[in-house]
Amino acid sequence: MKKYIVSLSTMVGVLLVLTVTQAVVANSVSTVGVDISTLQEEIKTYQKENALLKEELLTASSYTTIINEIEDKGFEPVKQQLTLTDVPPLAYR
Amino acid sequence: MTFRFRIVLVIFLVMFVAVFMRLFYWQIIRAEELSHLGREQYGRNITLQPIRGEIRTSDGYPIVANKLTYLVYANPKVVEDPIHTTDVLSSFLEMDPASISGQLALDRYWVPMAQTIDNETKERVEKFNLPGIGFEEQGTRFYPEASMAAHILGFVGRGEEGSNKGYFGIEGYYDRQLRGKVGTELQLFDALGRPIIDSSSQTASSMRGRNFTLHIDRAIQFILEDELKTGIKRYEAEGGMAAIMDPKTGSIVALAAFPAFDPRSYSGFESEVYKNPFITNTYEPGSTFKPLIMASAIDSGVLKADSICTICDGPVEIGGYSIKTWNNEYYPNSTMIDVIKHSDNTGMVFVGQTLGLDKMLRYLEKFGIGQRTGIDLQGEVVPELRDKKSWYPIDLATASFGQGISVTPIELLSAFSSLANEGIRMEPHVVKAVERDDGQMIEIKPKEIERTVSSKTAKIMTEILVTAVSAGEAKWAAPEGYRIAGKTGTAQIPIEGHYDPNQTIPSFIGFAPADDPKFVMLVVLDRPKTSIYGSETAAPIFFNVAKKLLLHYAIPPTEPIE
Repeated sequence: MKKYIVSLSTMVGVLLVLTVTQAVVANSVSTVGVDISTLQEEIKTYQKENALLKEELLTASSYTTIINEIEDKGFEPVKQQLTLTDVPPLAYR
Repeated sequence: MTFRFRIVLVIFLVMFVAVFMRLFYWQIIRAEELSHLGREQYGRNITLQPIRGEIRTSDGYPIVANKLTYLVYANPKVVEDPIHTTDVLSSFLEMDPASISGQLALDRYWVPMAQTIDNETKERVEKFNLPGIGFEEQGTRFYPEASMAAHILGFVGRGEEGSNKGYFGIEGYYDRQLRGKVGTELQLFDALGRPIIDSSSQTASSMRGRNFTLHIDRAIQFILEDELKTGIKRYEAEGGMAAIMDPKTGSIVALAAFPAFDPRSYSGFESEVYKNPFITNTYEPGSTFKPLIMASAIDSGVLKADSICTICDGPVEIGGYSIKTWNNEYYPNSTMIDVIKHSDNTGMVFVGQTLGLDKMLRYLEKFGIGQRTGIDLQGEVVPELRDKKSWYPIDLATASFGQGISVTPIELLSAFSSLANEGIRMEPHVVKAVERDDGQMIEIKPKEIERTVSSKTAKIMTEILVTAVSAGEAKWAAPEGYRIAGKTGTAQIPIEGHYDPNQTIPSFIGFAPADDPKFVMLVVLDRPKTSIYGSETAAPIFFNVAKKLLLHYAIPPTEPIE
């Protein structure tokens, strides 16, 4: 008889522990969605910031922008190009 | 007593059957519909639009990227103060107040107000907290180099279903790969509307489009466009086009054509300019075709570089036609080197006749004339060679100096480049590598098409073409110190059964350095007014670009400079 009582108590105990565990886990997991949503919002903000910065960077490093800057600053294309030959130069006399 | 029990039992049984049938109706017959209804109450299906792949130049610079833009929409039923809303929107979105007011008066829940507005404008409008006005994120193509390489890139417009679709160039040719895959996501919410995590939330992830890296060298593209644009203006041409290719790999490192369009505002241009003339326009190449015929004759063994032309002492009469030289000057007993140097039409008739029709057609096939080059750009046109039976002696004669035969510029460039690559013709290619969604790079390997002429013939032709540059009509424009192989062309334009007596298509084709070619380039102008000759228009553009390319590639001169 005692054996049955112990077994029954154990089963009820396990059931209780599992129920409590489920309640605790469910409770903690229930707010994960909110956290994930917050993180997703944050990711979105950073992604947006990255996209805007990339846009700025690409515009600033484009040849079109660089050439415009060069012209604005008054630089002019090189008129005479210095070229080196394979033949070493000679000094006459 | 038993009777009462039975009555109760029957009642219970009837109720059980009724419940069972009702459950069957809900859970089996209307299961899908109710499940969908339920899902709509506790979740929301979100369509995940893929990000279109980037197109990058060979240095990894995204010449086509994506920009964050917004669609402004309104819910007219929620808008509280239409006059104030109209004022704000019209001033920031640069729209007509009457059209905004009209949109807000519509009896709808969702009305689009403006497309592709930038983040700055969005933030300015947002500050007003206008009820009923919202923003929807949308990806728009972004071109940091403005209209550079427009004909290579193509543009993105709207497809039949209103989605993004690439047209022309790389955008058109690789549209499916660039587009990516649309995904869907089911986001679940609790009773308070807060998102909750669920294993079935992610149903199908979107796949971003593949990124493409091109062989296009941004610096060379810039140089080519700049020089071509200047040349068109200087020589008062109606247009022009040019391309530079690595003869050893078939890589297209630059390609430009004018008039062009701006992919950012393509709808403002005539649809005619969307097409890339370098792969879609056919023309009679004129003298730039002569090296192909000469190479064929030398390779087949019927002629040598020092063979003597026996009919070069005057005009050649064929089938009632008189074939003359471009300047009506004749050079009796010219060698084949002289024929190319003087761009002698009568000499080329001699070459064509000595070669014969059968051999000429066989070589033209090897050079890829009348065939698709296989370039990976949308819209390549193939002008077919006429049937062998319809070739008459006069056709053979004119084809030998590049008239009466049509090619596309890319066809000629591809054929000619084989002479710079020891006789091997490579497939012209624009894309260098494709980056998959998972970041893996797939390299596109150079593709050899076939051998056109022997390596020995290619070397002989190179020497002939070097002489054509150093002693020909365009020698004044060539840079000193370098061995450049090339040929001028001044082609007549066929109009309604005859040739235009006043206008031409001048061109120049060549490669450098002649002994170890780094690039092969073709420059074609359309009807210049200052001069009709290739040596005075297309050749200077070619050499101006070549000078800069030699510096760009850090190639030192090999010949003494006077």
